Amino acid sequence: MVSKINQLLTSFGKTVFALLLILWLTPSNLFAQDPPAKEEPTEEAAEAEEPEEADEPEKFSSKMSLSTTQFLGDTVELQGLLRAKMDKSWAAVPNEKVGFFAIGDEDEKALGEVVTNAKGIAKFRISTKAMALNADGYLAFAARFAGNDELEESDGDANILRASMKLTPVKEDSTITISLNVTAPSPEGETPIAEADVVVYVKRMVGRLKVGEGTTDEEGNVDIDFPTDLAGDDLGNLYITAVIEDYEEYGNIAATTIQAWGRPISYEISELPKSLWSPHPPSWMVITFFVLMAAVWGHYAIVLYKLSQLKKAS
Amino acid sequence: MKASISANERLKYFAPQIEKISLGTKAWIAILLLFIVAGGVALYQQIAIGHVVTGMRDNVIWGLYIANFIFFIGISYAGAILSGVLYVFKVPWRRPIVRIAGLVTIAAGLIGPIFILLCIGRFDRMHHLFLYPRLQSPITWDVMAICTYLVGAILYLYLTLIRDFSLYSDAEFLSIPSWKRKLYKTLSLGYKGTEVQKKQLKSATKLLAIVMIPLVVIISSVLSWIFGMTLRPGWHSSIFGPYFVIASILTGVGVIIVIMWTFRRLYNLKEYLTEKHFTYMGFIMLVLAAGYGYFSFSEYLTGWYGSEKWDSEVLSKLFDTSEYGWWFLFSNLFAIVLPIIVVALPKLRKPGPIAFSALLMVLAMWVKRYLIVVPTLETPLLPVQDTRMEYVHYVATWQEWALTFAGIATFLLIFIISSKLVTIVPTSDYIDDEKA
Amino acid sequence: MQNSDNTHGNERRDFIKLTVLGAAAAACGSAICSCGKKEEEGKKVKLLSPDGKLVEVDSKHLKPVHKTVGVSNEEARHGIPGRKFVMVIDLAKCGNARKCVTACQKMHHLPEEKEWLQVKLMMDNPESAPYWFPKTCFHCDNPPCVKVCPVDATFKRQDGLVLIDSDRCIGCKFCMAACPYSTRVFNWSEPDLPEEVAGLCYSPETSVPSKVGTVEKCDFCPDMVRAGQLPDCVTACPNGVFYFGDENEDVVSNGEETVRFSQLIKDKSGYRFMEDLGTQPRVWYLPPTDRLFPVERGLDDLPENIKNRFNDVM
Ligand code: SF4
Repeated sequence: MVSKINQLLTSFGKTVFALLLILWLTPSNLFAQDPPAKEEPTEEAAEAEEPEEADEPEKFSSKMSLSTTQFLGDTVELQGLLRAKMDKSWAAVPNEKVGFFAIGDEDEKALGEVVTNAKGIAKFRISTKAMALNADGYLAFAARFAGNDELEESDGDANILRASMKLTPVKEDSTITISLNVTAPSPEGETPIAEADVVVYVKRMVGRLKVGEGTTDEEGNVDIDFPTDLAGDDLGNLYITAVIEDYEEYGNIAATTIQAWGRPISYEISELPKSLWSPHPPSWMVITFFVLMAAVWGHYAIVLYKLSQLKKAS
Repeated sequence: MKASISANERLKYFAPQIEKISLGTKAWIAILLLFIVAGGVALYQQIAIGHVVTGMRDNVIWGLYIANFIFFIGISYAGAILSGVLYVFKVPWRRPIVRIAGLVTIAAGLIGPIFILLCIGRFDRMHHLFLYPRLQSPITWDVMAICTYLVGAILYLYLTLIRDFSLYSDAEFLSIPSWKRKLYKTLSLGYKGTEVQKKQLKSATKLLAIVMIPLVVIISSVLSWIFGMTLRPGWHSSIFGPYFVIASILTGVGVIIVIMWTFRRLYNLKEYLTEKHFTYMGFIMLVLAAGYGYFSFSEYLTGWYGSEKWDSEVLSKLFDTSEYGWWFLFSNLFAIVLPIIVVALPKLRKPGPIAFSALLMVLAMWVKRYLIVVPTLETPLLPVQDTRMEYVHYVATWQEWALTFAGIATFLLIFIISSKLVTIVPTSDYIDDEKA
Repeated sequence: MQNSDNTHGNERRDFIKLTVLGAAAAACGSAICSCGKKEEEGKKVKLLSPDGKLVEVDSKHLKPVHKTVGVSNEEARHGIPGRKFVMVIDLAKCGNARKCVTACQKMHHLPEEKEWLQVKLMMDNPESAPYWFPKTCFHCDNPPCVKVCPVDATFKRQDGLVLIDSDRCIGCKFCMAACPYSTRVFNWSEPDLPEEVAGLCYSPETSVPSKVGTVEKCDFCPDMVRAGQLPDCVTACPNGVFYFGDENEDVVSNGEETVRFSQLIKDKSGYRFMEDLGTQPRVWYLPPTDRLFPVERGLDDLPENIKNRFNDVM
């Protein structure tokens, strides 16, 4: 029994570690903190139809919301949010598989499966270079949850137009600017997207900090000032993202960059100082303690020695 | 055989004390054992069910146990410092008192720490104190101090017993079982009273007596710092060190007086424990009570006068007769005023009244320990806002009382048993006098 | 619905709640699956590997884990590199909804009567206006509790947290006497825990499970932070009272807004509770000005026993 538990322990530890590693290395994990699940998705989300009258009426209904974010280089990140209806409110469903699909005019292609995290979110990143647009010129995606013993199946879809945002970091003397150019492909080549609101975020431990915003001009350009007093990681790196949220039929459009513009924070774990609250006592305390102890125990030793002499003398 | 005839005669006089156990004593032992058994039941419940069986809860996290701990360990310190001082300063009337003081030291010194164990949530993890010690903690200081102190106290008592042991083992007229005689022989380390031995023993005893005095002052201050180092009103006081020292010695002197009086009656020691002894001990008690009163007064006066929010809150509980007012009055009247009056008035300066006032004073000092621990803990800096009464107000449960009485019973039992092993008056101590 | 169906439904609802609330837990040895069904071995799930390729991972390795021992005891004593955690509590927004209290209790498997996070009704003097005062552990930089611990069972980490190793604590309660804020609670009897919680391996970062005869308290949920999430009290609060973050990054977030810590403290006159004690708390308060709710509102819908707590004040 015990050895079995031990075995489970090791294998469990290893898998958790592997899983964490994969999650951590996946570029889709752009922000350490996912947007809170209770928030209605701001993205182009498709609500699942109400579950049809099934023969097992006691199943709970579920809801899948699919949103997209376009990155430079025809990369799209799909994000499925799976929730279940309980007591009048929608609660995130973790630990369930979500399948992602590319929808063509005639057929559909399975892209992959991802298990939802604690907040019911499954993310999947895909290159759409080779992907064909549908008859209306859209990229069409779907996310599906097959249901389980307790939950109804559900799905969500998203149809978006291609767009891209180019980010150019500019550092001059003491000022930093983020130059952005937003365009959408068209038969005439790249056409600028004007009047789009862009927000620049920096990734922080919890959530993302908004550091600047702006609106694109006729040319699809916008320059946004970037603060110079931010703290970065141990190398001073800042993980910067510019986002246009849920814009017209483009979904989210985003661009990211990593720049060493921040103040480096030491990641070193150094010994805590000698103090009352650390594991290391102040020197005077150690000295006093041992001097006192040595003095008393030293006298005890002398007394014991004298006693042994006494015994010898008899 | 070096012991003079008169020493043996003296021993003959004391012999009944160690030779047999009278019926009355047996009855006493039985009663005390009953108390200890009751304590055992309480302890079992506390271990089996958990500390919920006590009255302690998240605000009042320490209660009777800690009060008892301070009380007993304080008595022990007093015994040690008293016998040390009497010895070092060669006080001529010390002889019949030092043995009692020594026994008090050991008995109380063994009981005190037991109450700390009772208060600790996981005494199965006591070894952590030595595995992961943190020198910054006053508890570490206290643990080390008490260990050191107990070793010293036992050693000291032993040194003062060696000559007696040798005397007992050589006294053929003593009708004691052979195991007892053998025990005495081993313990006497072959002491025969040669000049060399005498010198060695004397210098060893003196050395230890000198060490014990500052040691007791330091460790009883360390005890007070467990309270003094916290940010709690009524505890966070710089005079807590000396305050505890003097309170400890005062209590201990009271206990010794009571025991002197008891043994005087019990073993017919009127010739040895004379009125003079009670008078002198009474004077010591008077001086200490006055000193203790002075400390109490300045402690409460400064707190009351400064009237900082938290100090006032604790003081108002102590002064309020619907809370601790009567107890506060009792503890101060009987620990300070009463002993002073009884000893100061020549008419009352008799063994009986002195012993009686000492007894009341000891009780009052116990109440004082309770008043140090509980009212402060009932006054946290943030409002309690709890509807569970037991979290607001501490009431000791029967388990705590049972263990308290078991502690007192054990203290007495240790005393009775040791009085069957050694004479209350150190017989051999008189030899030098007689030669001189 | 018929009665019998109802009970059945309730059971299932509870069960799903468990899933959703992420009570999935991993014991020292075995992963305990929250969904209650055994995933057959060999089922593969597709995942994106770090280099962009699709890889297949055994589905049984993909259990979401919550309240697990993520780090070694050694690491748990050192802290998260580069962090310095802070919390800001906005008293102006608190209406005594007590959602933080219950969320914390759920998260740490505490019984109803044990509150690591308390909401007190404060009234500084008879003339001043009463206000609700949520109180976590302050994780002081000069922690009186850590100073007095004889066995280093409660310790201060480099990232500012004060945590407890319940496996080492001897239960002397000295730290409780030393803490001026009555933050710590003691396990006076064997805690009543479900088997799968009691079997968990204790870590100072999770503070679960409670152990008899030892001390425990609010831990700022470092395990959540490691997973890039905010502590549960922060996300549970409907009014966004709690802001949690990193002083090094100078950012705090209440889940909805992410702001610069120094700016927030400056703009709203943040202060620390009982500054004069010299404990240097890591928790800051924003004064209860321009309140969202009248203070009496906090008494509405309270169970009788909790309401009675405040009888002395209101
Ligand atoms: S109760 Fe535990 S954590 Fe607190 S001081 Fe004692 S050993 Fe340390």
